[in-house]
Amino acid sequence: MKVPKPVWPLLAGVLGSALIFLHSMAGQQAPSTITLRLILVKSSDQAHLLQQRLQAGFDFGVLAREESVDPTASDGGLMTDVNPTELRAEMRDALHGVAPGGLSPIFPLPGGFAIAKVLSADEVAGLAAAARSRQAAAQAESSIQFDFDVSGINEAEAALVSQPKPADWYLDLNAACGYRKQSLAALRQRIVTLEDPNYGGVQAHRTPYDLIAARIADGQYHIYLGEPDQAVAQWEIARQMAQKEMPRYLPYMEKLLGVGYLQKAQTANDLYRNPGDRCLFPIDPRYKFTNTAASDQAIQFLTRTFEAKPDDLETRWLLNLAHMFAGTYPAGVPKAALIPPSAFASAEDIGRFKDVAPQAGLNLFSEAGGLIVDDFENNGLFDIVTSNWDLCAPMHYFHNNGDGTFSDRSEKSGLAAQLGGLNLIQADYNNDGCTDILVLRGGWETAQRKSLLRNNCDGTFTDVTKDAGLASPATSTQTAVWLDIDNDGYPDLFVGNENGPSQLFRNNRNGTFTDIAAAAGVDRVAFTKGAVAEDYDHDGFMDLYVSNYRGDNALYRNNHDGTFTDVARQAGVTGTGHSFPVWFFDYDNDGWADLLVTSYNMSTAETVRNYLGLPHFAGTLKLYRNLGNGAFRDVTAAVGLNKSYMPMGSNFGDIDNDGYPDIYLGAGNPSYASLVPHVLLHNRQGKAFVDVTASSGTGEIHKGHGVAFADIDSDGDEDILTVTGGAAPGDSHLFRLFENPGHGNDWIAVKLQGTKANRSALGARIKVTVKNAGRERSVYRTVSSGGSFGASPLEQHIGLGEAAQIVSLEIVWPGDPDRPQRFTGVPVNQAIAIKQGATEFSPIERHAVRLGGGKRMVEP
Amino acid sequence: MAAERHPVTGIVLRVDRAHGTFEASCQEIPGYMAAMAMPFTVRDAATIAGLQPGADIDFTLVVEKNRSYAEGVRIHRYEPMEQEALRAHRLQLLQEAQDPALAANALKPGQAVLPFTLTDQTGARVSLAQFAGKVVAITFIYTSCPLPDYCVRLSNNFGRVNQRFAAGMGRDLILLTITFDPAHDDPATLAQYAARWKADPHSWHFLTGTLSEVKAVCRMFGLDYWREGIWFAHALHTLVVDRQGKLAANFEGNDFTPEQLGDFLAAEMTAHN
Repeated sequence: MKVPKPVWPLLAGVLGSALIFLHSMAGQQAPSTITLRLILVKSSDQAHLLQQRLQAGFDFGVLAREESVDPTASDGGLMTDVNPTELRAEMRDALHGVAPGGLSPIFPLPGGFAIAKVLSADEVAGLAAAARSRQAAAQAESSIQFDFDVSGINEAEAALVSQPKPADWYLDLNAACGYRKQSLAALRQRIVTLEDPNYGGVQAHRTPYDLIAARIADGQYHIYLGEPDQAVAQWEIARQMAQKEMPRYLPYMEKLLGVGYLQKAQTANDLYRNPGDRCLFPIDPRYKFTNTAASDQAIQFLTRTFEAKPDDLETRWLLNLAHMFAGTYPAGVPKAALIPPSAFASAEDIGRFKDVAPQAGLNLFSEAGGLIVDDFENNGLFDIVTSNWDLCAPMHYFHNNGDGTFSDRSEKSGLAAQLGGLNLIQADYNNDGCTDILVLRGGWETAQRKSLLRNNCDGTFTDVTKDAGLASPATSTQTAVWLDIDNDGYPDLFVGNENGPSQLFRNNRNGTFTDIAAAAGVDRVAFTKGAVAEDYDHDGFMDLYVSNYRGDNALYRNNHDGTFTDVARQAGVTGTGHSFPVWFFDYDNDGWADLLVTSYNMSTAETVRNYLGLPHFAGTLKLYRNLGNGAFRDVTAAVGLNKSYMPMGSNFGDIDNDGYPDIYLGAGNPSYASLVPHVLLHNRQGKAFVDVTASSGTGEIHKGHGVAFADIDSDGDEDILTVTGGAAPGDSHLFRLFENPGHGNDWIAVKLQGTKANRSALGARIKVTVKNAGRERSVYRTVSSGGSFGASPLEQHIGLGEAAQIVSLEIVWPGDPDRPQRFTGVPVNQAIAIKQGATEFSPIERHAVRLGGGKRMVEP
Repeated sequence: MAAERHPVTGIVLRVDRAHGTFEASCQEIPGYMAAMAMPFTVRDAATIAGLQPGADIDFTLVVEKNRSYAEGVRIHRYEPMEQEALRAHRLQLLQEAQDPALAANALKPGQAVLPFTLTDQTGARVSLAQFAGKVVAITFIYTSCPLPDYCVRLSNNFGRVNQRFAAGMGRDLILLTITFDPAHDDPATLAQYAARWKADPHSWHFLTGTLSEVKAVCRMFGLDYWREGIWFAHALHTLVVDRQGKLAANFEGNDFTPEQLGDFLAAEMTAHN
């Protein structure tokens, strides 16, 4: 393959450093050309540092772009189709005997010291492919089919923004709720005004276009509030107006009505408040709607829309879904529109989960929100804390009764006074032995304050935000992570903000915090949607990974002096351009934490492409494998994760206790048209991720937010909990608790307590070496709440595989990388507590319970 | 022989009421003529009574044996069908229902454009006043805009104009592309964006500023935009300021071609002072 060649301009650029003019040597055969990359730096020390990094696997092109002083730097040091005989002697000598793909030794050039790399045939071919894909990418983004907008949230958000408010309105949560209510009332008033043909006086000319727009707004308002009957009534009026005066408006109106009737059908059949298994994808024909009037209308409108635009994948998807609801899938779906059942079939069956939330007393009906599952009462039982981003909705506290049921103690805990919040994270920030809560607000919306809720160790919480120095300035945030940046034993706090600088709060060890983001070099302005921490390079200091919805992600390497350096480009982990939830996990158990980066695209069509096997225009998930030398390798396609979803809340856990962490993605976007399933991906021994959504019964089609994995019934396997619900009140949904059917594999749960390190043990690395049928291997976990949207317990549940014997259990504590705490003779299938520095561990007393109460029939 | 009748759409370049003629840059009339700028006669002066340069019109071209004329001239209101533009319009109506002054305050053709100063892709402060005596075309974008028919289209229009009037760029014609996402679109980001169209920073300025500076300029031209995460719902406006510093036209939407915009600019550049 021939590389497109800007050869001569490039070579001209390096005349000063690399080239000498050799006149053609008579009689000599035309030499074959080579393609090189070159880095030139000023000092020999620099060159040696570079050499180490290159040998460690850093990308040559990236380093050249950033470090080289040669004019080729802007092209990553690239010199295509070079005739070796025309190179300077120093360089020619240095390259002598270097095989394709290899590095030269350091050699002097005028201006400094250089290293060159001879590109292999594959790499040369890759250049051309990259040039093509850059072009393709530029075109691809513009080919994404964005979701059809039915939600009313844009109207509601615009109303809140334009509602007159004092500057510090966000400080008082009740007042904020008041402004939300006032803004919705004002919105209603404006819509009524616009529907009046005489508005603006009899002189003013109200065009059909404006009158139809007013009716559409009216329907959006009603669908936002969860009143689809009124919404479709308004849109029917608009359709009649369009029919009479603006027929070119009809295709839009018909799709609007198709989605509207689909919403009406779901409400008429009580799908949101009483979902059962009825909205688990693919939908079982046994659960077909009993009331099909609205779904029949949805099918009519969607069929017409599909016929008019057969390449509209979103409409095609919704038409299949509407037939599933109506019980007429697949036979009733027009042939050209059918997405066959085989497209959804799971290649593996790891058993079917069962939603037991209502029986367990978790009757939470909510919009999008955060979730923490952890032991807030130090009684060995996992409680559940949730938030709802609705400015008027209280947080919830579900106390674990220890018998498979939960009691709503929202009032008693003090959390009911906390309104709003899109995400929650936990840590014992003051090392008093009780796990505290941080509430993150204002994500996607308008800046609001956070809440730091100190656990009083008696099941109640005190809002200490203001005293802690975290109330102002208000920011729009949905993500933060606790990490002890300086190993002083107190967790510090990184907060990622939207359209504003990130914050890094140093824990002053007296209950207060100071923002040191600027001095630490992490105050980049971005639209940040995820933040996670890990000592990815095992140097004893916690590093940070920050996921941005626009632009590159950041990998902030800890410099051990209170500052960080972004090495995302050199490490090859810049992400997808539209990244959202992220996490570190050791997916292949090689002892080095890898990075999962999601890509969030407002497009149902891109999800449909997964099922139809069509190529993507949008970014896919990304899995970056940690090579253990500071660099990562993109292994996305190799493990089958090159799919595009719309993951919001999502997390990882080990659903079959095989020791390999699996993935659960909550999916969807604010539009009611984005009805796509959550996705459960089973990790097949660190080699591939297999979609087991259908066979596991976890494919909730409504919006997925906070996701946690926890062994909530103490039976030795992790269950999946998720705050289900969308961005509008009318897209609220019942909480899900998917109980794990069990797998017979062994496990251990480890609760760590730091003494020198932070008490929550955030960042501590656990290595369990086991023997399965004589074969020895290790399983690795780091103490964290998991992903960046939804918080699993800090106690680590670790699957060990079949008939496991623990050979040893080791803990590497933050700040003390060279002296692991080691235990042998640890029995499997129990939860244990380990204190930093102690020589003994202690068992945590727990009994398996049946979720929903009553005696459990079969003890594991 | 019966007269031929052809439906025509175009953008008005000039109106000469005294002689009962107007000139328009027309889109192709299939089977009759290619897209071009040409003058038309009317039989009845009332046909063009309310007509102003910059208007988006349709009419019937009647071709008889010895003469041709335009009749049934209708002025179009911009009525887009894409959902993003629909939403921008909906949000704009709601905003105006809250504050009717917003609609009334937008500058109308013929009015003097108020001075403004913003920062361009090189970091230089740029004032409208420094282009006095030149024709200035202005449009609004944000660089993260993913929709090919929106910001990319408007920037592309300017790219074509930039090529067509290469000789007059900077001397007779100035292009201003203003971002309404100044929080993200700093001069460096705009410089990257400008490079896609090979814009010469002396004649095609990509402008940003403080939130309030940008907002004031958008207000003046009736450009409505709402932030939605990293995206915006926004209207599409392309404006032309004449050599006297008055608003010559406010083209809304994306239905016109770069040739039509170019014809209009050419007419303005050659207009008698």
